[in-house]
Amino acid sequence: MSLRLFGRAAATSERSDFELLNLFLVRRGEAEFRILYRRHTPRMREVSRRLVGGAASAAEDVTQEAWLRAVRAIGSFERRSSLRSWLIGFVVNVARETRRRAGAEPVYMAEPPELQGEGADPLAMLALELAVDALPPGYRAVLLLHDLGGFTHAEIGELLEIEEGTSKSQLARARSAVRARLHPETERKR
Amino acid sequence: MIDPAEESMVRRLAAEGLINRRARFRPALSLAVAALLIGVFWLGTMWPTREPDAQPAGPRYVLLLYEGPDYRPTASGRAAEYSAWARAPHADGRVVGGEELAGEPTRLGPAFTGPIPAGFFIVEAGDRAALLRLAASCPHLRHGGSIAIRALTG
Repeated sequence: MSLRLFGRAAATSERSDFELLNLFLVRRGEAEFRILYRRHTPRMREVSRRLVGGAASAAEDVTQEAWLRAVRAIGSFERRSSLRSWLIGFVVNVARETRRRAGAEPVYMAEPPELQGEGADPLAMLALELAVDALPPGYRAVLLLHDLGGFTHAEIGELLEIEEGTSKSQLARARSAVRARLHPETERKR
Repeated sequence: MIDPAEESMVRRLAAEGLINRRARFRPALSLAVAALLIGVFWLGTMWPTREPDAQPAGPRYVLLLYEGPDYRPTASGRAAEYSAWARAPHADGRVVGGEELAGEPTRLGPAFTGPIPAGFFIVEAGDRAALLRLAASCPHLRHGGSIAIRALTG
């Protein structure tokens, strides 16, 4: 079979994330990395700023650390989500660690209210942190973006490239999973 | 303007061996390479060559396309997209042909339950690195499909 040639291959900068990722995985090229970096860093910085607050340098450190971890792990990216959503997941995790190191309140949740505020029992806060840690990455990202970053479901949907309704249902499931881990007896009775 | 944070990240990743940095511009080396290329071009005009289209890009391989559980077909169908990729010029080799395989396979011989390819491309590439780059650019991977590469022995 002979194929007539026509057109030109897309320039590197016009390639999709997954095409660039495939090329990057094969040749580890600086050019492919720079395009992905420029494409996704503004969003990652925006999320970092919302999650970390305070000085811009802290948010920048979070973004850089998130990129570093993402590139280290890029060979294991299974592409079940968009690349952007996967990268935001790293930002969320690094931001949370940064807040924890800085002694900030680990997570603000609408439920359960007894774990919020200055007077919260440190052991209960630790249990909450562990419960959040145990969430699947997608649920954890939605929970933290919503409760820690104050993002709306519409914004989360846009960030993670999921439906707004999916963000709402994942938040509900995440909270339910956290509650079940913190209060297994109560949850079993429901 | 170059983002200093981007430069810093590229340096960190290169230091960890996670990316390969582009070669820096070296005027003396560039002049030497240019002189060499001009020399090679001049020598090339001294004796006849075959038509470029007749030149194989290298050994031939078959890319077997499997769909698998993660495969997400495009709404508009894959024929046009895959065909455009096959017909486009590639720096790393050449797509010689390919077909989509349709319908349930007719199985003969002892029971066989292995995965069935959904299509194939036959490609030519100069070396293994070029072959992998060419295969990695195939749109099938972007849609979550898998590709098995086998060398053609002929």
